[in-house]
Amino acid sequence: MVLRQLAAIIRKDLRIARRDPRFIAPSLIVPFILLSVYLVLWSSVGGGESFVCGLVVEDQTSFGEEMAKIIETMKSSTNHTWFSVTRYGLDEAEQLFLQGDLIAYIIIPDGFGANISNNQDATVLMRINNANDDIVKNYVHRIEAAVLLYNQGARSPDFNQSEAKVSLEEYHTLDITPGNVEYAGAVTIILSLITCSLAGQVMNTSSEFESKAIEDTLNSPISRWVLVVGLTLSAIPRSVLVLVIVFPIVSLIVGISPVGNPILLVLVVLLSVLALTPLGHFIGVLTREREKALLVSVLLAVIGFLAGGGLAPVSLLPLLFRVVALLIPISHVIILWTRLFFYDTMSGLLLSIFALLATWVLFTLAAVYVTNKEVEG
Amino acid sequence: MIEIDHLSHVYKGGIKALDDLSFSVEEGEILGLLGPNGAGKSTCVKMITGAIRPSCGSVRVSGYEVFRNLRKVRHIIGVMPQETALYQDLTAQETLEYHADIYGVPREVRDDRIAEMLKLAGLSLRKDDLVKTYSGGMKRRLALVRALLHDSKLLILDEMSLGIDVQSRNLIWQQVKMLKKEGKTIIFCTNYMDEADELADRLVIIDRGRLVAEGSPQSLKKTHVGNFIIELEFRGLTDEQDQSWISEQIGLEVELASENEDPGIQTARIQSEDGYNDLPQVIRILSNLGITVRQASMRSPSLGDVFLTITGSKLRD
Repeated sequence: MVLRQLAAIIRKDLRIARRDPRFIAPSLIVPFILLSVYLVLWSSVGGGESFVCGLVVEDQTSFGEEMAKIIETMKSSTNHTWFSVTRYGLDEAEQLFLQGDLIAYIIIPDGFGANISNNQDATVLMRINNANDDIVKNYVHRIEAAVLLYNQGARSPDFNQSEAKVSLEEYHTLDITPGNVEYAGAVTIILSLITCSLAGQVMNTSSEFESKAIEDTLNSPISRWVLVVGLTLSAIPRSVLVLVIVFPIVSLIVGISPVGNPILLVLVVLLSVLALTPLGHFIGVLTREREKALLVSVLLAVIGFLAGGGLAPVSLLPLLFRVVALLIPISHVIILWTRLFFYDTMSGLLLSIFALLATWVLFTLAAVYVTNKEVEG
Repeated sequence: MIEIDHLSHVYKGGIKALDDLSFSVEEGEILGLLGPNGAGKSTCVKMITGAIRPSCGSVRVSGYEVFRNLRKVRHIIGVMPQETALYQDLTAQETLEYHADIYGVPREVRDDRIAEMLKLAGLSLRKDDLVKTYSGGMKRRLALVRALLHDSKLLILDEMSLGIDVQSRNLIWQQVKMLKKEGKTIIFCTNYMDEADELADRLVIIDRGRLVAEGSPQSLKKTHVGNFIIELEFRGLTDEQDQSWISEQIGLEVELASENEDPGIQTARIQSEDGYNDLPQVIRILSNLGITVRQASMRSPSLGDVFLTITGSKLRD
């Protein structure tokens, strides 16, 4: 009997979803708007090679040229550069800098080589547009690294540090460092699923209340548990459908593909839908009006997404923000998804798995409670 | 079939919807629930279906205390809600399939039963069309047969003919009469007095959450209105000569309606046991008082007269 009721709810929901696909709209619109913003933010305005730094080499000695080559060709061990370096004359560099075409420029001044030859202090100058602290840090770190390498006797283009007095080795907790655009692409994909599970279910439930169509179900002998579980299960194919649409588009635009185990990725998707759909039903019962519900759910999805690792990995946030972010179920969806998207490991993900399981149970209980109560109208 | 015992309910915000309401419904009976808007009819119906838990009192359906036996009770009841309450993006066939599955209609009879219900609703030819393409009458008919699909013993119809055409209304009425013959117990709420008069074996009139009258349509007319209604249109009443003054002069219960469109013209409704004697006497008394009767008529009382007599003619919003 219970299986028949579950099947009836799933069949009914899928038929309605097929004939009224409006639920897909926010799931497609919201992620692509955010992706556009990300792409503009990271590809055009900030990050990557599009930040151009000028290099002015006034010193014509071999020492000046050596320093310039280190700065021009140095790469970090993550193989990720934050800006490109182009040589200019001083006046041109200054003009481009004032126009905003250069975000910074470095001067190796006349006399640099002479000072080194005479064992005197030699200085490299750097002028930075410090509108953004991250950019300043990146530039400063880079020039610091270049100066350090030069002092240690490293020679371009190989930067063989064997001759250096002090060598530098970098260790990373993860095998690769996804670029900002790659990260944005991955989280955009999962945002479509988050929006569909959450906003789609909120709209579904609130529409049923608004049209009173749910009354037949509520007057029936069906258990509220079966009703909530049925709604949750019927959200799985809907959300997966959205993912199937968004995944290839974003992958093509951004040029990414998942590295992790596909089965585990599918399990993460299922767990995410199970955790977020009852929350959507819960909100839908409380709001009951489609328009209000849409607004609330999209706001929740977007805010939860931004606060929960949509902009940058939660692990990079300050402690207080990290604690707050970890209280948001969406954070755990993003943590699990991005980890398995970029790495083939489940290491350190137990907390997020438990958090989503707990969310599933908690909001199923809450959804059953409000559905029971809400029939009073 | 139904026993409602001292039922009271107060909504959030302190609105008293039901106040110590008690009545019962026999098996196979058709009971009409009447009352002005906001009287508590829908609240009462929702308590019978288990949608609202009463603040105090109890409801028993088929011997089961509703809130202790919700699932059993819900199997027994078929509800046609006030709003059409149908999924607009399902077809009639799918709507009934869904209902049959959640109510556990045996699989072996499900399809035959659905076909039977579609025929009963006159929707067999449109069964594969989406509900959103149906007229209001078709939707109501579908909602009615949906309530019947699981062979409910008790049928609750909330405003069964609200906003539908005469043809659909007649079809629904015929179906209700047929269901009565099949021995179903039916409770319906309505604001249409002709509907109540035509279908109900017994009526319960609720006002401000309290039971104010109960009985068959005929007995209610006899008890609350009398055998005749005399309606008069007259002029010449002064400001001091009010409803009680004129009732006293005539010796019958007079209800003055609000002023007519023509200034100075007033309408009165008089309940009478012996209209043929009372009518000429009333005209004579009024003439003697200097009041000119412009128009007089006499008719048998309707349920509407009962309703207005009991609940008053003042607007309820």
